[in-house]
Amino acid sequence: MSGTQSSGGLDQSSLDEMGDEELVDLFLASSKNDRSAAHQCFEAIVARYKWLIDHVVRSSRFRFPPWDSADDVNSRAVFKVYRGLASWRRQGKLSSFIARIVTSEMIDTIRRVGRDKSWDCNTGVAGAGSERSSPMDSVAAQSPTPEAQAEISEQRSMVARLLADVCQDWKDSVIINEYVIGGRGAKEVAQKYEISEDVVYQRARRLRVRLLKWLADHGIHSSAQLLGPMTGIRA
Amino acid sequence: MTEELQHPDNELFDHFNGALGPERGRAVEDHLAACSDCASVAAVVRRLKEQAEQSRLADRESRDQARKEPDVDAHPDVGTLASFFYRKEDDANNQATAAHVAVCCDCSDMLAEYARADRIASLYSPSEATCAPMGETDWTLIDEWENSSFGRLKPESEAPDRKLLDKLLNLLKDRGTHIYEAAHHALKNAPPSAGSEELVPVILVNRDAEFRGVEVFEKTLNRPGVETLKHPRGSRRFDNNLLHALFDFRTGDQILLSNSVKLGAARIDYSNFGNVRPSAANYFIMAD
Repeated sequence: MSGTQSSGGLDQSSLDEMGDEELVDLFLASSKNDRSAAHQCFEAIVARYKWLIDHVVRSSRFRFPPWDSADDVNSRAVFKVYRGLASWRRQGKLSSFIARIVTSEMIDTIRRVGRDKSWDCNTGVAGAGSERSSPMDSVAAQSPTPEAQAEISEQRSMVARLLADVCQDWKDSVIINEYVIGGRGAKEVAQKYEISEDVVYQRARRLRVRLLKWLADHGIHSSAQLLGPMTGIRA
Repeated sequence: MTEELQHPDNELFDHFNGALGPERGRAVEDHLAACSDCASVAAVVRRLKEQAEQSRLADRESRDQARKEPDVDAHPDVGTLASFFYRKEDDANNQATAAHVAVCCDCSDMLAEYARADRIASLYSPSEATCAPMGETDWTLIDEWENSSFGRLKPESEAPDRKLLDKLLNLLKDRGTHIYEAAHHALKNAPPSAGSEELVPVILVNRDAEFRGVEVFEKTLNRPGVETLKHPRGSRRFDNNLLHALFDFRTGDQILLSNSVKLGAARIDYSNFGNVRPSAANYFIMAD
């Protein structure tokens, strides 16, 4: 029997009055030798957070196909919470811990579903395929010479090292991605990543300073040292 | 007269994004012509934009190709992305992820999902209004897992002994050539098997996992996933010692299974690993 309260089980009102930590502790202790009690504890936990789980999944900007729907994601997320509760270190709220598990399951699904070319996670349309290519995309690019390719690789490595050094956390990375490279407005970036516009501007300013310092530390004093074969200008 | 700019700051980025008006844009260009530091920053931004455009074209090309799987190894896995988002301190392990996310729109979008969920969670407080019971389907996966072999503890004989595994792996690494030669020599000199059993070398080690010799056993596959190793002359010399089988199932892990030798034979059951034959196997008996 699954999820049913066995007779002689735990007192439901006691479970409802317990704090999250106490309830999780009881669940983990019961898991070893009293599956029925463990299930009862878990039901009490999920009752508190089912709305959160559901909301995180259904309010995602991505769309799930009928064959791997939001309900399926929800069920798998609940399963992962069941198995993952032993890993909760109590350093933050249980809601954050659960939200992390749910989001990870959601991203796994999005990536898996995204590999199916008959479904577009962004539009929720079957058979949409990839975005339309421009005529330029269909023109075969000339392959660079091996020497040019080696130089391109070296340039890419340098840029990767630069980014690894100047980005201190995820906010730096996404601001470089969306604001610096992608050209999105600070307000748009702030809304997408749940941060303030001020943070976007402050971080961009600091990134610029760190970037300058990195270039100086690595002996790069002219733009020609960075442009290389891509623009045909050699240092 | 163009207004003199003191290091454009964020206006530099806005200029490259086409967000500045013509007059401010000209002022930035004038500054870049005169300031090598800002020109270097501008060059980096230009390079990043060029690389990003190339990556976008490459991604589109790979998605358009029929049956071509995108390179899943190019993106950090979900666990790495989560660690990157939730870690507070600067961590060298996250540096590669930081560099990747800075130029990957897909992974950046995934981080936006973490940010959104984290915000929802921070504001959430369980209440009677939000209380919702589990559905039957929510229990399906849990029940399946608990009722399968994965949900049960391994029997003692299969419980991994990490120290022993490490000792044996080190032995193979350090003395592999010598052991191989000894095994080859033992197999060459062993009388042929009376039946169809395969002859296998069993490495003898002492309690400290030091190499002591090789003994040849006959191996029989009883059924898929179960094999018996038996001393060909029926010797009881190794009775009550453990025979350890070190398997490589190509999962990335080495699996160590053990069982006692009784009446000159030991049975090894690896059927829990999907009845797939191991790609490599080494056998050991640890005895004084």
